[in-house]
Amino acid sequence: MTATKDLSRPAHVPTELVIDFDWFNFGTKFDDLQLEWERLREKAPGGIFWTPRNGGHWVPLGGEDVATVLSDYTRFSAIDIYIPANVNRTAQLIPIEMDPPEQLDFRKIIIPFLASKNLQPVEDRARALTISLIEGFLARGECEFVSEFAAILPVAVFLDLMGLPQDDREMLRGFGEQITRSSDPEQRLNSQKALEGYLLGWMEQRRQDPGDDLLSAIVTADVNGREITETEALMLAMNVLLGGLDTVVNMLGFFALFLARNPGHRKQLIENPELVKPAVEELMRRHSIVANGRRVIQDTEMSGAQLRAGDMILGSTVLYGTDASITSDPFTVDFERESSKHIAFGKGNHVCPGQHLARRELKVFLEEWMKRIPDFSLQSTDQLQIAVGHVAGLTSLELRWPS
Amino acid sequence: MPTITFVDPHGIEHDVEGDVGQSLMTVAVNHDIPGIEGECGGEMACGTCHVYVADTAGCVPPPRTTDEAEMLEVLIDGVKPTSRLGCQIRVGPELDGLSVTVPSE
Repeated sequence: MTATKDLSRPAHVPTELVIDFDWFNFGTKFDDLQLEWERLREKAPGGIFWTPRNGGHWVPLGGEDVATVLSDYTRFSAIDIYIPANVNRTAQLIPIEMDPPEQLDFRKIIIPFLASKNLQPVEDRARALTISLIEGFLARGECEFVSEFAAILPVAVFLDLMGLPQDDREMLRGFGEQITRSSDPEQRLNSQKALEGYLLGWMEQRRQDPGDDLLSAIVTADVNGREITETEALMLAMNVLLGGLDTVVNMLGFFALFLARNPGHRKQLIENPELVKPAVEELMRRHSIVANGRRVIQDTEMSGAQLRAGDMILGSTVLYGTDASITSDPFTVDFERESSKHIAFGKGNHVCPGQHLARRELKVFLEEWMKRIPDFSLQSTDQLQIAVGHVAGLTSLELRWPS
Repeated sequence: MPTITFVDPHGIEHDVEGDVGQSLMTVAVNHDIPGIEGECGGEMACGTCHVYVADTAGCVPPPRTTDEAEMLEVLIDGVKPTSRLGCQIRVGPELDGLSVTVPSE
């Protein structure tokens, strides 16, 4: 990751803005992913750089620039969100790879299932599951947090919402991991095709026998007065599934990691449960995990760099939450901040429609876990397994506690 | 510039000036009106700019579009006849003196 003169670059990218950076591999061993992004800011003090890796793309580093990339669809189209760009796939994901106004036609279909006002029963079920999972390993005094908790709770809640069998959980999560964290477009495509095959079967079943689940709503949807097409329904279901399979799972891992390392913050949450809600926001600010690409669609300037139509650009949400010009002392987690400004759910027209569900799950986790396991730590000081990609996450997290 | 009154969730009135053509959501966000987030940037996608428009003589914003009505219905608990998404109302001279109330939660 050093500035270099001999990597290929488009003619409009000046040499001094080139850094050899593979965003799927930060290169060194690290145990704080967010600090690795911070180091990039030191390497590119101008606030933006170009890397020739993964098809070549820009990386803006200022929080406001990232927010602009993710929200200004007149200059940065969501038509391609994967870096490196996809090849040979069925179609764009819907609606995350659409721009307004058509994006809203599809967003409308799923929002009723994710609107805060409809989520209390979902939260209640999530709470019951959280309690039963924790009580299942409590007496053991240890657990592998990712596989025994984080990968189960949100995925189970989501399968419930979609009306899909709980037995398919592990298989679906495997697809999700490949699609969001594989840097190999071929591998990504294979998982995508496998997930499509799985969904098509269930979509046909719901068309014959619709229920009140989200998948039934998708296959029977009306789009601006016409029936949704098969491909549209498939791409919408794919998008919804990816949003639910691989996001809260990973955020939970970072929450648990932080609390395992910080007894003072645990004590605060136990002594003052009212801090749980702000803690959810503050922990998401410090650990935003999503990064998505955009396609530049008109020549424009950003932090002094000339961007050309057709260029790809990466918007990493953690760069907003940890930007010192937006949040003072940004790497300190403070549950009593006046406000925790973050774009962990994105910014603008694509802001995550599942954010209310995500917040409830994270809140339930903090409430029920801290009550039962107030004192816990990392099992060993071995290197953490952190995987990087469109959604960053911990591959495993061994925890232990006095039992 | 037209003046808009925002009554925040604590009942406090904020009289602020908006540029013609700006949305009520943008005006509110620019003036840090409590309770208005404008999270989606004005694309009717989030519902965080929900306001109740007072029945003020002479200050009647254009009616809801179908899209706005649909999004209100799915996003907002307890939609009232006066419910609007602030992002869908443009400031114009005819709205000088308009008063809107920001719901609590």
